Amino acid sequence: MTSDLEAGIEDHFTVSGLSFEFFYEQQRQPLIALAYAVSGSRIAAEDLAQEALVAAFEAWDEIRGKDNPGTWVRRILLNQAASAYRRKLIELRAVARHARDLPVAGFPEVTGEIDRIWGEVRRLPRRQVQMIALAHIDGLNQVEIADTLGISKESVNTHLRRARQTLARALNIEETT
Amino acid sequence: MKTIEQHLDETAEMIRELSKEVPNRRWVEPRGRTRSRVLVAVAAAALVLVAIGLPALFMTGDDPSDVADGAAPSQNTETTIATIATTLGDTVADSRPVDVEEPSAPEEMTLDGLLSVLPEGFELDSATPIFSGTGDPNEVATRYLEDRFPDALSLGVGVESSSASSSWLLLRWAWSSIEESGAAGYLVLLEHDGVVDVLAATTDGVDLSGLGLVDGRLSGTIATTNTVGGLGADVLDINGQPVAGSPYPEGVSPDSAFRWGTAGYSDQGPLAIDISPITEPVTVRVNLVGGTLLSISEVGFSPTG
Repeated sequence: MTSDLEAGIEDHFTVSGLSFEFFYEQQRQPLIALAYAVSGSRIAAEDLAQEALVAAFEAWDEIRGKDNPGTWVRRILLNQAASAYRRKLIELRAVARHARDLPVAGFPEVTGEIDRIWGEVRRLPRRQVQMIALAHIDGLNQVEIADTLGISKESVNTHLRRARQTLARALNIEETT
Repeated sequence: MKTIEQHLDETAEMIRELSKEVPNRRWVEPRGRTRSRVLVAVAAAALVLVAIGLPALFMTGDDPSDVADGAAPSQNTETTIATIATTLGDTVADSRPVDVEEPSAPEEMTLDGLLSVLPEGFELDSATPIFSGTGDPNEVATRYLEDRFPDALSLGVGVESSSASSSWLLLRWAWSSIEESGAAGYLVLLEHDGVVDVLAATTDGVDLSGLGLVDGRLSGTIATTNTVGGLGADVLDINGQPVAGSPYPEGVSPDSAFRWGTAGYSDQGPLAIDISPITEPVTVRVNLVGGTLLSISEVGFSPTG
């Protein structure tokens, strides 16, 4: 059974020629979740998603005709999240907004299992973090992950396997059934 | 017993659910982020350089080999640079959208005035460069601004005017199309042996004079009377990485993703820095932040002995 979210993502990996406003509405929330998963920053997650969507807006004429504008915007988000400089800027911007008592939505407080599991995920090499997030947060298959990151499907397969092995050991969890 | 994949799927579902609690925001087209404005400014700058800058250069009678040989530029060359910079600034200024407030008129620039907001002991002949390049000083300054401002190209920060002596050059930097900003300041450049060093960057209202490096301890405060944004600071090594002990925002633990210190707004007091030991050259980089990096104040420190 496909959830609404998965259906929304699926739409934007296959539909071209859509309006930017519609694209924004459909993509914003999944991008915030992805941004939180890879950055671990509650305060920056929304701005990371917004930055990626603004980049998509600026390049909309170029990417709207692509088969998968959702892939494009995810690649931008992951690159921004991986750039310490950009992340720092985005975080401080959020702090500055907070200091000025402007509305700061932010990501809700996260504790327990999410912290334990995804804190360990973020200790993995950057590419593996991105793959785990795309696989589990966005539910992408290996081909879609490879397309998003611009690498081969075989590389995705190898990295995902290593990442899960590392996580299983670190968290003392069974690797596979 | 659950597998790692099941753990990941379950917690990923929790993250997706939590993301739904982030309030919806309707899409609002960002202002000042369209491509046409950038293209107009770039085209205008190119036209000015071709139409005015190059003929003016030839009319001075300067021997280009002066620069190639590493000699200091003649007064005629400096005048030409100033003319290009001023005209370029005027042209970019003329490309502003009509609904954008005019930035305040540049303050009269003097080296003495500038030194008053830089750390005591800052001297042109011994200052640690914060950026270096070859070529025209204005081009080096522009490259510096583009390097320091992530939105430099799309929002139009640039050199507005200049003033030069036989060795140093002061350049006024300012935004050309960011309406709420008003942040502006100066760059101090020194040219030697064909290399242009940026020695310091200042922002109007931001005071670095309280900083000092004494006996391997970098300490002091950064103050601002500028209310356009939050004040953030970082202390960086020669690779641009924060050194141990870099300031952190108030209330944020050092193990978080934050690398900057911020004092919030000007009514929330100065930003304190206290790091030791400093054994290698470092740069203190200070920005006003509000929507993007709005300003740059920067100065280098080198331990002696």
